[in-house]
Amino acid sequence: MIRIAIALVALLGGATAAHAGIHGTIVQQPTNWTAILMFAGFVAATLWITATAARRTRTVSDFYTGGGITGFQNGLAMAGDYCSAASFLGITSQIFNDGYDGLIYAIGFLVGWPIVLFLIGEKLRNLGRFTFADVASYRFLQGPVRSFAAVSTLLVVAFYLIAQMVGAGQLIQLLFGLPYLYAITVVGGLMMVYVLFGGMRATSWVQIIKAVMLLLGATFLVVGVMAHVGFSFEALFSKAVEVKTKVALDNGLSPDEAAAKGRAIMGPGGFIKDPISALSFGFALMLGTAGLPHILMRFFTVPDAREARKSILWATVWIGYFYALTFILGFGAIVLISFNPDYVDVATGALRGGGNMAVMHLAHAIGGNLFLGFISAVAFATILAVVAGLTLSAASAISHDIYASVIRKGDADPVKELRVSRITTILLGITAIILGIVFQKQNVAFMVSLAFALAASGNFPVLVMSLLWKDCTTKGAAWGGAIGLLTAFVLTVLSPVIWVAVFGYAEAIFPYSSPALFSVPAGFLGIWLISLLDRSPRAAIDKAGYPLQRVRSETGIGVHSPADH
Amino acid sequence: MSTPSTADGTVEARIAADPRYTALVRERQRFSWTLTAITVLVYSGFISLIAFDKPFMAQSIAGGATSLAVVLGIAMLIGTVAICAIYVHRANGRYDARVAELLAGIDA
Repeated sequence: MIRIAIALVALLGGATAAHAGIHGTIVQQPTNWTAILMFAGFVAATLWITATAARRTRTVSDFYTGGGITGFQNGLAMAGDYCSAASFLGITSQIFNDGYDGLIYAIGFLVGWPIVLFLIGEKLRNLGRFTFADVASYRFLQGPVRSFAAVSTLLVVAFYLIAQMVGAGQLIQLLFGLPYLYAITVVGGLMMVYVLFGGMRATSWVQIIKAVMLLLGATFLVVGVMAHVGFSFEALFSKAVEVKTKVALDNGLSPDEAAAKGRAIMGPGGFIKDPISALSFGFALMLGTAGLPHILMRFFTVPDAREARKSILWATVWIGYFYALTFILGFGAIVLISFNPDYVDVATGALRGGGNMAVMHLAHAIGGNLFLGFISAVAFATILAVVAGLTLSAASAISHDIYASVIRKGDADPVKELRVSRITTILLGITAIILGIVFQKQNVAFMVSLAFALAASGNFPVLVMSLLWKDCTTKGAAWGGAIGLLTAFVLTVLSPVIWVAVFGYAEAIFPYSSPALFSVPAGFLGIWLISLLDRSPRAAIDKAGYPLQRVRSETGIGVHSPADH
Repeated sequence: MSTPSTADGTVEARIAADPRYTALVRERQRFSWTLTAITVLVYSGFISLIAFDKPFMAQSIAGGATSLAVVLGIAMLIGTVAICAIYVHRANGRYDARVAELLAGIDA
């Protein structure tokens, strides 16, 4: 049971799950028909959109880019792609338990976006067509760089997807009272249908609808919380401190100790211990965001660099707004549900139904059964939107990067390429369901943070160096990127989250919670050194191609619009 | 994606040789790296403050329950959005106008 709690935190990016303070056990809830009906409504709407999208998904460009949306729409879709159900449930519950620390997570998830905007976004849009590998391999020999990018995409997606599937199964078990196996099959099946028939167009709209539902639901809850405290933040915080103090007193602490414990929720607690781990984890989140293939792929759904910049600004607005809401909701939960025996086992202080249920109980306390059903449906929709984006990006890596560009040398029949991406989608859907079952009882706490660390150490250095360093070569990008990936992977295996938590050794060889502070420089250093030593004839071609690439990346000459066929 | 060379006379080669282009790229690059440095430094500073001085962060603002950590944390969220807005405002305004002007001049 504790494994399940840890797994849910995994979605949160929980390298430091142990600090998240999730207590209690997870039990399957009675079947929640309100939630199931609301979710059925969401599924019906998204399937209708998929059917509409399917009629308009004829070319590979339709499949990969969805025929084009605006920067505002794409910003919402990015927010929908990025805000997982578990950051909604996990961060609010973490704040419910420990107070302030949840906000540190939330900030880490947001600060990568300016980096994407300043260094990568517009150049990516100007040079690329369907995948980030288009850009990473722009002036290089296609085979090695595309292969690196595809392998890296599949690895990042695999770890991200396993964590999402396992979390989804458990969450749905929790919220809807459905058995794990059904839940996994429903999630895997629906995501397959969206991507298979509707491609990027359906995926975008599933993500947009989900983002709007999530933001509206959370906003409604926040208004409910703030109404309760007379719309004063100071009142909210002081009530929360009072409640936590009283809980501590009831647990038999002395008045002084209890006051200190109550007060502690307003400052940073045990989440950040040593500065190296903290910075390393922070950098993994920050730079990983700039290397996540399913996020980078979203840049090709807008027509030009201008709309790409707007996408990031809107994504940052909505994601920042969302995390500010979760912060208020966490404190709202402390104030509103701490003494209600329906929600909390007053004797132990543990949340009923499982450690991540704070916001669910809050929804029930504020809006009754109907609203609880709505929020549960939102959580399910959230999972679907995230896994659909992941699947589409993995399918594109195989059909566009491996099949069309490496195997067919850029000369693939578009009809066949589309068929390959659809077959891949089916295989990925089945694989995701199987992985969800295989990893059900495994400790997957490290997987999301591993995905971020891999993206930060492999994709991010390759993109930055190929875009900004004129002397980068094919060998440098492909092998240097591989060094970054490998360093991140090996250090993660040697770190406490796997070496101690999974393999059961007493002490970790690599003591920090995230490898990024070391593996990102390793990636950059690898690319730099190998390019420098590369004296092959190809290296000369790579370097000669830079001026043209640079001018195009800066001006947008020759940009491929998603509406082009 | 092929990698043709920039033979003299291509549009790209003419742009690369245009002093307005080099000035624009230099200026935009300096701007984006400055904002990147600010983001990284402020974020590292925030994390370090938490790592090294928790009591400082936990101190009360104006004697109430609201702590410095809460104020700085929310400021981090707002600041992140604000720094993106600053970049987009300038890039979609001033810089895009200069790119358009440059391209119009080259095509003519």
